[in-house]
Amino acid sequence: MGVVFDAIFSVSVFLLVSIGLFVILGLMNIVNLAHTAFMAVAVYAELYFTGHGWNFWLSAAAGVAVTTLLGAIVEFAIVRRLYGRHIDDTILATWGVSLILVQVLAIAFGSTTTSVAPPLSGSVKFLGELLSIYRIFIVATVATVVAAMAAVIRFSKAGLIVRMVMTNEPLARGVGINTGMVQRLTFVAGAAFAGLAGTLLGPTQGISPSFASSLLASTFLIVLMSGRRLSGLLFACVAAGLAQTLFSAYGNPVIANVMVICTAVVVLRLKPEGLIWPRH
Amino acid sequence: MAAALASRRTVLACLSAAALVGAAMTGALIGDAYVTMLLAQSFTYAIAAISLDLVWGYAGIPELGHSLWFGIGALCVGSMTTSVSETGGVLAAGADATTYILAAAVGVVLAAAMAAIVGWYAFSRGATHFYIAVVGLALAAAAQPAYSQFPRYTGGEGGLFGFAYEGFSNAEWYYVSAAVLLCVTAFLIVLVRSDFGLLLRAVRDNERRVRYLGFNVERIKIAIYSLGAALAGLAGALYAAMEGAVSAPLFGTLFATEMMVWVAVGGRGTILGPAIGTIALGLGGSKLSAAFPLEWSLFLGLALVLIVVFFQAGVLPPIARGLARAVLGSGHKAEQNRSLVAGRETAVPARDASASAAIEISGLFFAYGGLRVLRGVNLEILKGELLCIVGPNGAGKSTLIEVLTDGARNFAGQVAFLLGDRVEHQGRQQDVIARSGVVRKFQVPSLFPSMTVAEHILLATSNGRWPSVWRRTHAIGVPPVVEAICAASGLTGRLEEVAADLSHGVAQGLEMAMAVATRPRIVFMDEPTAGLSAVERAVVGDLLRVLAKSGITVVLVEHDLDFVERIADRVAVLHEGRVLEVGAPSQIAQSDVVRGAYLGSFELEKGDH
Amino acid sequence: MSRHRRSRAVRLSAICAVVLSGAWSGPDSQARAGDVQPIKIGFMLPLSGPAAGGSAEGGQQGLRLAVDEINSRHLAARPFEAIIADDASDPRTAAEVCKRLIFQDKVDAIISQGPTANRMACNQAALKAGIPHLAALSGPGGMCIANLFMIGPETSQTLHTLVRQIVKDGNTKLYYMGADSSPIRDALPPAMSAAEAAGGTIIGSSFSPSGTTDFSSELAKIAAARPDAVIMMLMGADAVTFSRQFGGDDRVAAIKRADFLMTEKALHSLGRSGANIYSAASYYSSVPGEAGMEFKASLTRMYGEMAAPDVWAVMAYNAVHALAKAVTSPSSGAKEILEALPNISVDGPEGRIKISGRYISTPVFVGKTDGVGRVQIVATYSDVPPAAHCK
Repeated sequence: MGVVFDAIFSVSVFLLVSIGLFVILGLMNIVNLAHTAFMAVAVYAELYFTGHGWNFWLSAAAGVAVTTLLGAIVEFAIVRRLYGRHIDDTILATWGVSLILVQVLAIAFGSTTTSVAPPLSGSVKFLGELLSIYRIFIVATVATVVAAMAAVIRFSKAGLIVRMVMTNEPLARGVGINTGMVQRLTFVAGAAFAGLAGTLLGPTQGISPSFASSLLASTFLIVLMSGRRLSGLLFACVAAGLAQTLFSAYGNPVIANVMVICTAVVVLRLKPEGLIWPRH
Repeated sequence: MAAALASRRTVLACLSAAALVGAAMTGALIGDAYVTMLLAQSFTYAIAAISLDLVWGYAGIPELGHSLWFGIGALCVGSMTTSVSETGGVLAAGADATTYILAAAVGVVLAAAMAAIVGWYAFSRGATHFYIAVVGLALAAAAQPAYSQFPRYTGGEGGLFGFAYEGFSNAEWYYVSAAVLLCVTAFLIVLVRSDFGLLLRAVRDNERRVRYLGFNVERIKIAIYSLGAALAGLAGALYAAMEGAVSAPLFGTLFATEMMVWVAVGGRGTILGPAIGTIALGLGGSKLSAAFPLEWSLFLGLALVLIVVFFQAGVLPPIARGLARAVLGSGHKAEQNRSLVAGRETAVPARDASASAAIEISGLFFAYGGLRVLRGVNLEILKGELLCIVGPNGAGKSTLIEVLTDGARNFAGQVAFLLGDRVEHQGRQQDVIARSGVVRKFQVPSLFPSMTVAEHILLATSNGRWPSVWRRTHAIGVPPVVEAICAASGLTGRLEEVAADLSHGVAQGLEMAMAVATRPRIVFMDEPTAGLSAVERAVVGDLLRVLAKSGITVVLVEHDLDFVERIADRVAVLHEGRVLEVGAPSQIAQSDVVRGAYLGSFELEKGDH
Repeated sequence: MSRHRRSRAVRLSAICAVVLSGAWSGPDSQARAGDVQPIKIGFMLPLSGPAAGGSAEGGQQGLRLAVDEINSRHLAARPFEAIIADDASDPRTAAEVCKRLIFQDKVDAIISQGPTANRMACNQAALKAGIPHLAALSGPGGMCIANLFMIGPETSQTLHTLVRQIVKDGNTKLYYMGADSSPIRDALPPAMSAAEAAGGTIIGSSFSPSGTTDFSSELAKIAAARPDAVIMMLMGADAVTFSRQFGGDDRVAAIKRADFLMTEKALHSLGRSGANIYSAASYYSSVPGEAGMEFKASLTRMYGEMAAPDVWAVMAYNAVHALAKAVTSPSSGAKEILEALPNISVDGPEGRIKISGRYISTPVFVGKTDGVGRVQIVATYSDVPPAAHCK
């Protein structure tokens, strides 16, 4: 039973980290390799504010705000000039951004690993398993965010616009949608999601400037597997989370890492369009 | 020869080569041990960089895991020259020269073989263009953790070390690596400037079109990917023999990205640019990183962003162009260095009186997803005839051509080609069909934006045979009618113009010239007169008659019924995915059925024939 | 237009040339006439990249302090000069950096902190050039290379002491949670024997790759194995990640922890989730004694609030002092240092260390964190000898 809960948590973490990458790739066709660097900025902001006596929730909010602002700056200074360019270019440019951010953090805060205390402690007993409250909180937050996003995409006018831009950008522009503005907001939203992921995962991790960088490759592959649909993302995260948890639990964690990557490679070969919910 | 030497490209190449040789000499001149060593090491990186440029810059394959091949070459040398304990401790290191050479050879072969397997898996049909990037990234990302799982061969976390080849002094290493770099550079320059190099650029520019010229694109990509890997493996082996250390990060994504930075800075698709860029970054980088250890990777990131955003072509090419202009003066014009040479008219087979079929189509059904486009086409296309397919918009004319030139499409029904033996169409790939002498001209010109007119025609004349990997053809042998098409469409004086600059009408002419230059037996022309003036149209009509007279079967999709009436031997009317009528132009013009179809009042129950 | 472009290109290349040549003439120090040439020490450590977590601050501070002391108190026959270099957490860079230190900066000795692969990639050039290389860290033993000395406890010295202490405190069933690297895998069998000799057993082990962000599965395995204590052998940020998740998981709340590779600062940053963690090292800032106090005071004088008197600082400090003792005459160079090093002892902040072969015998302290993650020393072992014997 413990494995099931571990898998649920693992899926949630993958979702949390990949959702920002997902919106940016889906709406802008840009691979944001600076995603985990944004997460690192968020977690250092959180660290800074908790260090100055703010409580955790305020600091986390501030972390998200800082990252959002940073996203807007990066969009304005760099990403804006890359629209319509080949995907290789965006990979290189955002990689450069991530080098800059990580090193700025190292210079400003030092490279020593530190950590930040979780705001919730203790566990509850459920189905014979002790579950940490903070982890339950993360799973619940992720579920809420994904549900809210699904609802927005499906039912709101903004969601309609998003879907139009996703499926056919020139057509959307043709019917008078300011697709440039949509993309700008998308990048900023992606950064905000990175901020959320960074601040939420912060208390569960050792914090150094290369925070979460080990997650970049696997989340990137997950997002490619998603086929640019939220349902696909859900599928992909479940697949990756299951592979990760099962191979860790019954094999060893190195194999698990390799298996997550292999899953993506095989899935993308068999279904180049990604894991899309079958439509009727 | 003198004229050729004066061409700007050659000057650029000479200047850069001089810079490269100059860089190779400076180390020895300075005599500084550290600079000598640093250069020797940069040379091995430069080999890796130009091998990546071949794959990424020339063939356009997005390669995010090039470090893997470098690592394999290095690991082979490390593994074969050390003895290692079960848990990865290095017990003894070093071997004789033969072992190093053997190990390097094994590394190169292994890298090439693995790349061929990866390429076979990643380039085969059904995978998207970007898939290879995913595989490369995944392999590099997986290789790093996997490395420590085999300590018996890899030395685990700490890697293998201490196995540097002792037979060379620093200066000798310098000359050895410089020599290898120069050889590889020369080899690649010859390769990319050859006719085969053209083919690579064509694949990069427009992969689908290359298929329709009869080339097996997958095989080309696998070959280049594997060649790139072999050269990177060579670089890795050289590096390992020189440095005597190999560990997991050599395989990792970080190193792969660094290689991409070298290429991007030097200028993609220039070979010399990445070589010089890598060496410059190696020298400058070591100095800057020593002076600013903390800020160095900040600079690197900043430089990368600036280059990608503002200097798309890399930093070196603009500088080199500036130098070239300074040397030659501006206003120097690229001069024509390729020309068409019309071959003798092949003996015209008298038109077969019995008019046997070239293509038999019966009961052909095809749908795009849920949209049924062809609903039971029955048609016989005769050898040597000029058949026009007419019909209202949406009748399935272009789709019919699409299906007839791509047997891998998922269609139902019987289609057979009877050029010589009877060949079933089902499952035959585009390039196989094209090589059998069945080619098509696209409705919307589908060209290679970065290539010149002459280069387009040159590629087409190979008709799917791999062009020479070292020769650079100047006189392009074409059938006489190609020259006529060029003259008629105004291409003759513009052979050195880049396709991206051509107007629509001229591009149409080029499309047609390419189709004919392959010396086809059947040619499908999708609206060759679209966008042409009445005068041009008449010329094209005459050319098509000439084609048909030379024994080529011409199948034409056309809207202009007057034009059709003037040139066609037979006309087939397609409506709602079925052939309504086939017959002589005059007969069709009087058909009620056809008139009805065009007016939209036709009743389906009248049947197909 | 074209003229404009050309001038831009020319300007660009001019700028490049200036930058390059400017960088070229670098910080090479000129020889001062009349003076005795200084002994140059190259200090290589990861200042950037994923391995930059541990030693960056402490190592540099300890090194600088030692150089200052040597020069102001004339502790060596030649003055000392340190050159600090970043290996970027990358073995390729490490190899390059060492060549630069040796062939351009002409250092007489190299001190390094950082991953094994970097150290070994670096040592290739050092060994060939006959330059002594002091690894100022604690790590796996058993390697006997002519020019490579480890100025810190090898794994067995601290790990076995720690294991014995834990077992002695009544925790007989141990679990070994290691990073997935061969030195740490290799350390398991001897640790097992050490545990058995003291009357305990190691009942299980897991190894996780570096950069693991989620340890749930490992924690589940530990909870299922029900050991008395877990020995954590994780590196860098992973150790903190694991401790955080361990501290927040009530399934393993009753299990004691012994950490092996975390710095004091990292332990402290864990706060309450870092309470009651055993650890062993050759130095803690709470080490008693005159020398330790003075060391801390000197660092604080130099660096104020930024002072990091940690084990990294001490090992770098000791390495420089060992070199100073080996420089006995104004003509001493790399060769003389190499000859002298195997018989040198240094009185450092933690007590006396003595080089024997390629390793040191050293004091080892077993500590335990209090309620806020500060290390309190619970046992002291002086003069623990290394397991490896190099001729």
